[in-house]
Amino acid sequence: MPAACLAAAAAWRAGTVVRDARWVRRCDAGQRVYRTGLGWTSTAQQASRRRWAFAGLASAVLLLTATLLARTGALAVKPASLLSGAACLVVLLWLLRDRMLHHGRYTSVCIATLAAIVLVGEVATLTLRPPAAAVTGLHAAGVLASFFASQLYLVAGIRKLRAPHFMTGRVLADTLAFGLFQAAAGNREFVKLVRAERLPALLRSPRFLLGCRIAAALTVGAELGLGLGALGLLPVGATLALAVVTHSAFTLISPRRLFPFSAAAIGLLGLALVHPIAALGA
Amino acid sequence: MARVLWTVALTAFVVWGVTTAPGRPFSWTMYSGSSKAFLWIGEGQDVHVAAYEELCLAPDNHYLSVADLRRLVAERGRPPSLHGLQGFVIGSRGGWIVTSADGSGRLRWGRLPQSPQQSGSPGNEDLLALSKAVGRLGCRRA
Repeated sequence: MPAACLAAAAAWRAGTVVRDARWVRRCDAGQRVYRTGLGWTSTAQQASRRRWAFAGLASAVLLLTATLLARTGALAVKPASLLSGAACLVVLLWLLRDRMLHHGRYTSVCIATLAAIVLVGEVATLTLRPPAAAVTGLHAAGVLASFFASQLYLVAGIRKLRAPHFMTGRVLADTLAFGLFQAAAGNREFVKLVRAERLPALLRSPRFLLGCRIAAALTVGAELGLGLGALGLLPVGATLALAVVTHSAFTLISPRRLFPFSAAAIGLLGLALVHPIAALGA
Repeated sequence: MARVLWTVALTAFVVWGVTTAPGRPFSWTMYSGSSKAFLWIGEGQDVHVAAYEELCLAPDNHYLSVADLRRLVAERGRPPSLHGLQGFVIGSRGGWIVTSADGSGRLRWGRLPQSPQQSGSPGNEDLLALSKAVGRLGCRRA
């Protein structure tokens, strides 16, 4: 599952970059677009970004193929680990090169963390002798994933708890309003949850704001819960169910390009539950 | 012992993540704040929601402050013009009304007026203003 999540996240991310490059070429002959906080991009930057995205896409395919072949027994464990490890390394290099030209930093960090941890597992499989190799690799990867996944969810939850603008429900209200506004205007990045003619009434409805306030509190609770779950302090089934519900809701109100973040976070969490920190020494 | 060491390290990492500057790796500040631009271009029957391609705004940019919008409008430098640009920037730093009525490349902006006697809930006047604007201007695309 973690390798599949990593492959899905990397492939979607790479596909988005390639699609954006095509969009930018249609939009402006000089390929100038504005990135908030980063200024105007150049043709050379766009071309480089696109090239590396193809490398990321190829790595995702290689990773998925190696994993499937290993599972079906068509490829031996060590060659599969070598291919998977190489794919993870290319994903890491791609994301490092890409980090300055976009705002998906949290997505990049999440995917890169998962790639690095999967790489650790593959290196352990390659360098240690069986039968300890696979088990040791998986345990090491699990503990690392538990560490980083719990940090992710706990920090995200605590940050939101300390943000008055979030806890009043206004961040969710603004985000939802923006998504609905863009979707109504035909932007396919967002899911069209409400018809355009109903939008004015929704925006001034006290129930809309109350709903966002309740959702904000639930979000913080869910993130803190997932942080504890990633440590192994909650039942596995409950943690996975909470993760699926939370990330599904997050994906529904966010632009589609944020799907890689959810895929990578769930991959990280899945790996964490294999051998969480709470299970150390047990 | 291993569990204790990992827990101590995690605690330190969490404290660092919570207190470090937003935007740094592992700070995870997504959705802790917001700044969204709701913009229209055109006049009369031609009024429509300003598309990303018309603004020359990269498609992965959904967080837009007044300062960024000013710079974008001033430096855009290509047709078609942003004639009749109007709208709001709403977020954690408050609500702003923006216009570039003469298509001159300069953005005019001001705080959204506060009228607590008329609003249903104090502090959400920006959403009420947005609601009225959406009702008046619609969500038509170019």
